[in-house]
Amino acid sequence: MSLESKVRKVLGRFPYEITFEIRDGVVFLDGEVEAYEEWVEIGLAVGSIKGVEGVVNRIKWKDYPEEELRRKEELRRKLYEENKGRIIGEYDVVIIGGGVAGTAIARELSKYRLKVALLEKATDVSVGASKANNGMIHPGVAPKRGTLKAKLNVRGNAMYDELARDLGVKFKRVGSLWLITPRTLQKYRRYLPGPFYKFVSAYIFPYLVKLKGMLNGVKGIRIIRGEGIWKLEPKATREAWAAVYVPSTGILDPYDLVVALAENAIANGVEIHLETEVVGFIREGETIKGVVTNRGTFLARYVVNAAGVFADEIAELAGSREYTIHPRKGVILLFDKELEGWVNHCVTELRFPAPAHTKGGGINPTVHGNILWGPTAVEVPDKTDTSVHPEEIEEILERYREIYPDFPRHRIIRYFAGVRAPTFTEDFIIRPAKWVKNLLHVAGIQSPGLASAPAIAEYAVEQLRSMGLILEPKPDFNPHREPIPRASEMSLEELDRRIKEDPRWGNIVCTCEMVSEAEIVEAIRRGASTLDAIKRRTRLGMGTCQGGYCTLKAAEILSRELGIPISQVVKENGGRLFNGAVRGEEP
Amino acid sequence: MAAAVKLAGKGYDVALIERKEELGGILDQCIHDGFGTKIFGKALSGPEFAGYFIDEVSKLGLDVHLNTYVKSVNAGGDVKELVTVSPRGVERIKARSIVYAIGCRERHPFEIKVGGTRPAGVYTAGMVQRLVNLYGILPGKRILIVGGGDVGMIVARHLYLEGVESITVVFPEEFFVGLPRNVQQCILDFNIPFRPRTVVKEIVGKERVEGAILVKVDENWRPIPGTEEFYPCDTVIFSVGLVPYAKKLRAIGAEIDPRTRGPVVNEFFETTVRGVFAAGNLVQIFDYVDDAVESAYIAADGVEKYLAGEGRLDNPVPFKPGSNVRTLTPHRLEWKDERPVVAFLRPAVEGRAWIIVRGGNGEILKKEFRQYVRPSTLERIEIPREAISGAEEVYVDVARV
Amino acid sequence: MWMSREYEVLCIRCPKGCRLRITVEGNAVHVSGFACLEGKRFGEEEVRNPKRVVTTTVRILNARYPRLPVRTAEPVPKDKIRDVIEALKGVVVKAPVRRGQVIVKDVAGTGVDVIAERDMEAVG
Repeated sequence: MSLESKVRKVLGRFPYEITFEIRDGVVFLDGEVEAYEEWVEIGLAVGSIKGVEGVVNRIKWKDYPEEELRRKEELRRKLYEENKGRIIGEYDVVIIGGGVAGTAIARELSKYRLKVALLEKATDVSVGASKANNGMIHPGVAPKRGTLKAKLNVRGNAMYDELARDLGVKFKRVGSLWLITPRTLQKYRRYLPGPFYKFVSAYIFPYLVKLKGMLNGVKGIRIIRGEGIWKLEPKATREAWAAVYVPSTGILDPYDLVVALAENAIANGVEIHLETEVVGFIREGETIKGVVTNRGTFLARYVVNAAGVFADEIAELAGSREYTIHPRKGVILLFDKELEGWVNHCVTELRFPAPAHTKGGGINPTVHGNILWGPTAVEVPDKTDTSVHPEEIEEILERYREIYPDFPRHRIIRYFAGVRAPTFTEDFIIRPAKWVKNLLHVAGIQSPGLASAPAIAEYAVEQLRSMGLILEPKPDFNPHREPIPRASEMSLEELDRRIKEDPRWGNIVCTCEMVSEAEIVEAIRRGASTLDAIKRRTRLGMGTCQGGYCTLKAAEILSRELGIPISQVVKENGGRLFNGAVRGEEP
Repeated sequence: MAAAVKLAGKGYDVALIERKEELGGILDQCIHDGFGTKIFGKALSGPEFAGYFIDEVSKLGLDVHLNTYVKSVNAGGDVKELVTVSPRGVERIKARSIVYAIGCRERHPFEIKVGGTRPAGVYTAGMVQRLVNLYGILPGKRILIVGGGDVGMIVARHLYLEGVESITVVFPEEFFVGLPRNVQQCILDFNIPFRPRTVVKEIVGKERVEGAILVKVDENWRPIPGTEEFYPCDTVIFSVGLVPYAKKLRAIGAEIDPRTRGPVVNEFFETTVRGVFAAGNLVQIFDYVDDAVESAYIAADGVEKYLAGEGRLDNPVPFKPGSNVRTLTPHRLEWKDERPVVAFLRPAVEGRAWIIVRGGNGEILKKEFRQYVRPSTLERIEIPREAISGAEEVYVDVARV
Repeated sequence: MWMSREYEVLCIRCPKGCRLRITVEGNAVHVSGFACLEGKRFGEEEVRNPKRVVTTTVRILNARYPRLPVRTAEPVPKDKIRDVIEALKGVVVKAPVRRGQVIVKDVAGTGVDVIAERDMEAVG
């Protein structure tokens, strides 16, 4: 069957008049549907057809934000006109997006003699999905065999020991423990009467999972039954019939990794431009000449589109729209560090098929002792929708309570959401653009994006080489990056020595996490200009009181170090913390 | 400071360790009046009240460590070792006993499952109080205050006087739960609008608060579907309760009471770690600073007994809350002493009532009448030792009239 | 809860918060529900000439923080609260300051002084 007839067949399943055209393997859809969910469903249905290399979903749904998009477009055009003539510099490579993919690629490129600029529209790197995930370095069992996801996940996972060591990022290979319980194969109960159900669940299914992992190249998977399960996880549910143990799973703080990648890239010559938003491109035929931003134009020989949820918009502006991102929000619950020890591995209860709103997820420790529950997976029309609904919190608590029945669920200290950037083909899209000569797409980086990051960077740079980029290694590339020292983690002797040289090491600003003024000042020196940027680099405000004791003092320090009045201190992006002086009396 | 001053007065060698830059704790930001009516007979402001103690500390020439963070404490045994961190360096301090008076923290919106986004403009009331009163900065212009407690009302008044555009207060109860004097002086005096039986379901706004989704609740605080309403504002201030900052005590092995969320204590406010005492809001949330100070004086008496090696009861007497009592201290009697036991309890009911102290067999050991009790007001009762001698267990309950 | 000539008021003199019932008949005021003389006096004044202590801050220079907490030394008529706040607008004090020091005498014509609530040393 030709691709065309396959698409027509799939579209025939839906009660709508959907028209399409195919160009170089990319399917463009047009039409109108009622609900946003249907927009997603149709896109996914077409995206799953073998041979489809991308789905550009131009279908509109009932509440399509026509007006809002028109206003955004007007503003973009205005900024484009104002900035297209202001040349900031000439670069070999311009990377768009300061998330894990963009910064990993920047760091990888910094190994070569190239002039590289990374553009990020927020006030810090790691502000999108890269800061709002559970930090899990997946082993690579889950992705479908043969996908780019599977290949880069397994390769990337293996690269983390060295990378984390070089970058001074806390990383622990805790391993995964996937529990098989009476609920695992629930959907198939009626086909497996009586004792067959337990037999298949405990003795057949785990080996199928192991096989899947092995076919993806994952090593060391073991099946555990009985007491062995609770030797590994003493507090896990006694309902587990068996468990699949995958040793290569790791955890880290994702924003810590991204900041470290960015700092190392900068140390090796990359320019990172924050608060710099791409508003268009200057093209000559099929070649991009310059990247126009709200701060001026960056002339570029190659452009890397690693813009996360906005990658499809960037692709459109550049003239090679080959996919549409359908944002998928994930909510995560965070529990107090005092609960350290409750969970030692990345634990989840396997369910086959996976329930609609989870896409996996589970209960994970963090490298600092906190525990994370989640994430969920909900399709949302707004790319920046990081809202958490109270119902979603309850949903997570209900879903995972069966894994740790006695867990003190009231010790929640925070919850948050990140928005994933999947495309309709649900795989990574890392390839040269089809209709623009010097653009590299690095799109659709959803889970296992973090785990794959080092391999994504390697692969992306290889793609650039194949596009003609000359890679001349830099002999003085320094792979090492020193993390900000932490008063709470160093020996008392070292702390005392540091204090005697600089008393700010002894001024503890964040009581819950023991963060000293010196660390905050160092974070600012390394580029943090907002409260949240400091939080990500020092852990200030991440403890039990969630900023109650320390926010004002941190704002005071920011005000002093940046030389701005305290009423102008920003939490993140444009969000000022405060608003003016009492009775108009500026201090 | 109160415990330090009393102990120094008894001739003990006292070191006072404070993590902030100056003494006074939270009182430096409590610029409103009403402090010290029991102790001084006057309604002083927080700084003035603290000022008296600061002067005493200074007069006695006590060893004061400011800007000093206690990193770890080895509290077992007769000699307790503290490791402190300050701009002067890392120091090790040895002490024969410790009094913790590190206060409480504010409950944050995540603890009450407020949804939505997490933009700039969301604060707890204490943060705003400090911001306005010490730094002279406003948190925003259109304010929503969540919670009918004292701190929220006081901050509402501060903000009203200091020039915000609008203020509304919402809370899930039928009426404000803070002190009636604050309702009068902070809310009614200025006609600040308020909505009972209302909570915040979600916060709205990307980088800065744009509003909140309010929802009405029933008597059980359950949201009533269909009553959601978007309330535009640029600041949301949560005043939803204070919690003893007990993690430092948990870290040294002290047992924590899940009701008060503070340490389990005997009648001299000694924790389950011998020689380690607690006082003030760290034990339980006091409504009047005078009572917090009293707990410090009692703890000081306890330190004296401990250091003098005085006798303890062979069998500690458990002190248990009755079904109409939410929280109760002390949790047990452990010492041989003649002085009355000072108990603090938070009733679960409202109205005219008797506070009843019973023994293990249900016999009434003491009864005290109260004109009006309410869950938001901590009750104090003195129980003479003679009344409870011989009892193997003591129950403290509240019975409505 | 304010009815024509009968008022229910919460006494604010001390944290007890007694509920006072006040009846006004012509020039006569009758107060009940108080537990002390302060409360009785408060009730009598409250319906005729309610008074409050005003607490706020003024700008201070050369001190650790930019604001000095101040209050009226005595309660002032309730309807003068705004005037007191206005009168303090723009007032600037220089450290050092002592607790109890008079910052503004006879503020807004009330006959009451505004005093500092704390010591503030000069820094830097």
